[in-house]
Amino acid sequence: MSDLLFDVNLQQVPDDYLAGTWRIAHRVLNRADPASPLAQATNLDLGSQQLVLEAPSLTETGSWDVQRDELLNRPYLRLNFPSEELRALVTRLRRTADGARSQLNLYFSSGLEMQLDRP
Amino acid sequence: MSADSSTSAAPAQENEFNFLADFIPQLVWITDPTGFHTYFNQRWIDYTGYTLADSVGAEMWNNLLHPDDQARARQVWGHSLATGDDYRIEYRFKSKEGEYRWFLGEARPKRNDDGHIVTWFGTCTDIDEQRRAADQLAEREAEFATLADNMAQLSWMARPDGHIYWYNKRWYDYTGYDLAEMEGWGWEKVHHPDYMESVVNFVTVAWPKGEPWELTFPLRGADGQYRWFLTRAIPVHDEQGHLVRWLGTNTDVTEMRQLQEQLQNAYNDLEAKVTFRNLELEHEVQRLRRELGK
Repeated sequence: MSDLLFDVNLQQVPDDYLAGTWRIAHRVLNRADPASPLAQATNLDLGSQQLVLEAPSLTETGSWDVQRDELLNRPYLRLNFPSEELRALVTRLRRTADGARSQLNLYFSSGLEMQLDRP
Repeated sequence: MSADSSTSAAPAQENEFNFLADFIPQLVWITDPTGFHTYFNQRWIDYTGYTLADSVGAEMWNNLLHPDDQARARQVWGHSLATGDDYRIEYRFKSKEGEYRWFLGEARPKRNDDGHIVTWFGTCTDIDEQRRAADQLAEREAEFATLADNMAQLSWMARPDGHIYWYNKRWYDYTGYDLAEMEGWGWEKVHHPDYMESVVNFVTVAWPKGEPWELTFPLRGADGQYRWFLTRAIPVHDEQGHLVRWLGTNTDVTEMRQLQEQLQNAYNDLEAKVTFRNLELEHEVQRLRRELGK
């Protein structure tokens, strides 16, 4: 039973539910930029101090925070890298009852969609 | 005088006994305490084709039985002879045409003043039609049970007040419980606590109404996981229109519900994505406006 993932209500999700080291499990690439660091990323570490993007051939660091807008019924992430700022809508967050496992779906304004798993 | 009366009364009683014994529809027989036949009525002779003289011999009657019934009949009759217990058995006797019919064999001993058995009086009642009807009914029940146990749904039958007295095999396979644990209101064991109250409230109203009803709720499987089931209940009425039982099925609709949920989520996601992308544009417009306003 502890392995079951439950949908988290995105209108009330605490920010720390989104923090942590996420493994990119699945993505739908946007044709516009399939070679971008984000499109190649294997891990995304949303740490308390910084953001770290890990891809096979590079590592990028930056900062991140959780944003909310009254027009949206769910939060979005603002990811600040030295070269660009990205925004990603949280379309789904699922986690086990004890929080040991989570699954996060992000939709970037570029059209890129990702499913991230933790651990 | 009395001796003359008794002497003249005995043949009359014997005649009356023979008349009665030949008149009644049963085959009638009498044996001595050892089981040796001393009398068969005319119906026995007409049915088997054997007279008393033909039927002499310890195994004669047994040889007229269906081969599958002979050992059992010998054992049961032997038990009665040994203990004096009443004799009762169902078996097949062969007619003179060579066909077997089912009979109910019954016998009771007559004892003397000392309590010793002096005679066994027995009858064989033709129960062939009832037996064949019962066999056909049992066959139909077996066919129904096979059908019910192998259908895709869980199914059940309940009394008019909702007391469930039968489930099919799929129900037991799915829930992991047996009839003893499930009979009556045992089904509450496999209901999700969050839905129990609403289900109980619903059926409390539905049972007395006696009309078909449907309800969807989760049921816990033997693996501890809950799945969603669409439950349909159909009332069965007798010729007078009285409700005699309920027939119910539980159809697993978990995957259908998941697909509906996924479809709804996809729709909600699409709306959110469009809003999100428009939000980006709105932020861009606001930024441009701020730059122009400088």
